[in-house]
Amino acid sequence: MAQKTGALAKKIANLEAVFNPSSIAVIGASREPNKIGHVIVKNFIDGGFAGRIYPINPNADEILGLRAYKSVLDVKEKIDSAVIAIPAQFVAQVLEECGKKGIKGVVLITGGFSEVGKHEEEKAISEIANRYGMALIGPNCMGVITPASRVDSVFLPIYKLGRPRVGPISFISQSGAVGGCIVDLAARAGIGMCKFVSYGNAAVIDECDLLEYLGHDKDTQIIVVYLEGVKDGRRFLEVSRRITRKKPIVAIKAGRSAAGAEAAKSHTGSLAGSSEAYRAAFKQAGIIEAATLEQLFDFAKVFDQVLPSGKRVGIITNGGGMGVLAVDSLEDEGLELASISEETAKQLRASLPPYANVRNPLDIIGDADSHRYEVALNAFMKDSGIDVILLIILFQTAAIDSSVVNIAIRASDQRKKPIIAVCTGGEYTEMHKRILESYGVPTYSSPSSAMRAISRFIKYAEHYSKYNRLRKAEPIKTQK
Amino acid sequence: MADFNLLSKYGIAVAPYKVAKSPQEAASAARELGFPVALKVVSLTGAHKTEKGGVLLGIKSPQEAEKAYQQIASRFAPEEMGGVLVQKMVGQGAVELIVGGKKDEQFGHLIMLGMGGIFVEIYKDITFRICPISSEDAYEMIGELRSKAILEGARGRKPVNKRALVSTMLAVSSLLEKESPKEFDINPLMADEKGCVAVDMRIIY
Repeated sequence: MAQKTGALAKKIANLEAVFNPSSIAVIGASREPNKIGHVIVKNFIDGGFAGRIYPINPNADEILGLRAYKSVLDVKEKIDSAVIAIPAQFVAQVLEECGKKGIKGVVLITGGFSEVGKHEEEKAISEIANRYGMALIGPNCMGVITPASRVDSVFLPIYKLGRPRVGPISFISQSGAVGGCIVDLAARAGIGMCKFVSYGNAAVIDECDLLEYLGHDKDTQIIVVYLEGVKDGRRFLEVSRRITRKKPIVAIKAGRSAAGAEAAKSHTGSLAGSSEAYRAAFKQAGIIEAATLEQLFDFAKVFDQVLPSGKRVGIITNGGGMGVLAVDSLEDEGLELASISEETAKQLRASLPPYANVRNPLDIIGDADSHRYEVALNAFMKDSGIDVILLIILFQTAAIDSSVVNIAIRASDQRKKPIIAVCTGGEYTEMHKRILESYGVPTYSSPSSAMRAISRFIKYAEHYSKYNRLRKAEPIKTQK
Repeated sequence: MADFNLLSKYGIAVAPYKVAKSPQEAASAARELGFPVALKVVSLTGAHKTEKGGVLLGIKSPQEAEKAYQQIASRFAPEEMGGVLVQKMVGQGAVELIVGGKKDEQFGHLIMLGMGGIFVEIYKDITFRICPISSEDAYEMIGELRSKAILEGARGRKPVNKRALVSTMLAVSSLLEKESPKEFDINPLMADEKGCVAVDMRIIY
């Protein structure tokens, strides 16, 4: 047992070589531009990977200007990690060579294993990886992206699949397709990512190993998970329960197995399907459940802000109707509308135009400019009766200009209270939304989507404070 | 199959009952238990009792009990009937809950709490946890029911004794883990201000 635990620990430690290698072999590197093995080498070069890249191809001397080798065993220098994209029948031999070379981490892109019923072949692969203690991701996966160290084994061209900026969110996806399009969306929205991994068939490294690794990873502050199933439910519950005490996990479970598909003989039997089991596990583990793909990152990105110390929400808006909608959503989510203190009200009355009604939501009127936002935001930041600030900015008015974005970012950078923005609109609005997002201000298209995220945020803060002393104005960890 | 002894073994209160094999036994059992009583077929085949008319409620005299026994006996073949359960009707005005369990392939046993009765599948006011549960989990589950206001004492009712409900749920959680049934129901579990009493149960191994 002790040996098994040791082997597991080694495997998880070796994941570091997958995410942050200082040298990498691309096995199956190709000169043909439309081959996966070509795109991977190109992405490493174009992405600006700082380590050494060793293209491996028995029939080439040079690929994309780099010296190519017939085998990893021909490379004299140390290699940390390998990406393998060759036909399935050659994988075992190549993997054996990786083991002999002392490679610690492997991303096995190649498909054609258990997903097509070839369980024996997959077992052989995992047996080799385990024998050498290699952390193997895949087979049948897209691999990993680490934006900070420019590691990128995803074989989709950069011009087709946008790569996200460096940020606090790590994303584990069982499905390559779902993972890929979400990464693309996150990149476009300006959401920052720490690590992305599509882990495919999970022959060696499974979701729980990845959770363990990311739980310990200092750079990862938020974990997002797309699951179709888990290998070991109990371990999943145990591992994630431990992690959510330190950092949030947002997860979606795809695929509902029919409850009572097999003729259940009891009420409970007919009502308890696998979705119910996962939902229960998520609750007990303190995992935030997303119902849709949109919610997955809507919920995750809110954690870029400092944790709230309560559930009283203060709303600032330059459009009255949006304030009303925000209050409706706030009530739906069971949150509390903060009451503005006497002192704050006095200050606001002195600086806002006489026709502005000083209450929560604070409507600073359609003629509000950036300065008025600054006054309102400063007052709300100081008011100890407000735990979360919802900042609604409608960019369609004549008075507003881009400088309001600086004001929101500056307030958010103080890291005293969470600031969540709502900007509803077309192209001009989208542009500003993206800037806000890029600077870590979670920005939503509607008051309801913002409020749904805020309620998850507050609920997690309560969960977190059960296990940690929640110091006011203390982020989980600041990373910019 | 219903197995009330199993519930008692785990400290779950069961409405007083006796098994009768004849109309006469039913009448004397009813007299001993005190009226009103309910008569339920002891089904040997696991058939739905209610649908086949195997449950008769609100029986107020020994004569009625005799007649009810005969009625039930006429609706079931002798080989599917292991007698009739005569049970004291308890918890008038109580909230009908269901506490159940199921073995899940991935996570092991799940425990369910919900609004009980015969329309469980229609109201679907239910919530689940993975066993074992803590009392904190149990309180959370109660708070998740849409109908929780009924448990809090809606329309002049007294609030349900939550501590008793929580300890029943904890007892079911340990029953599920130790007995490891495939499926399990206590339905209804009558909950009122005094406590919780199981009126019917079903266990499938």
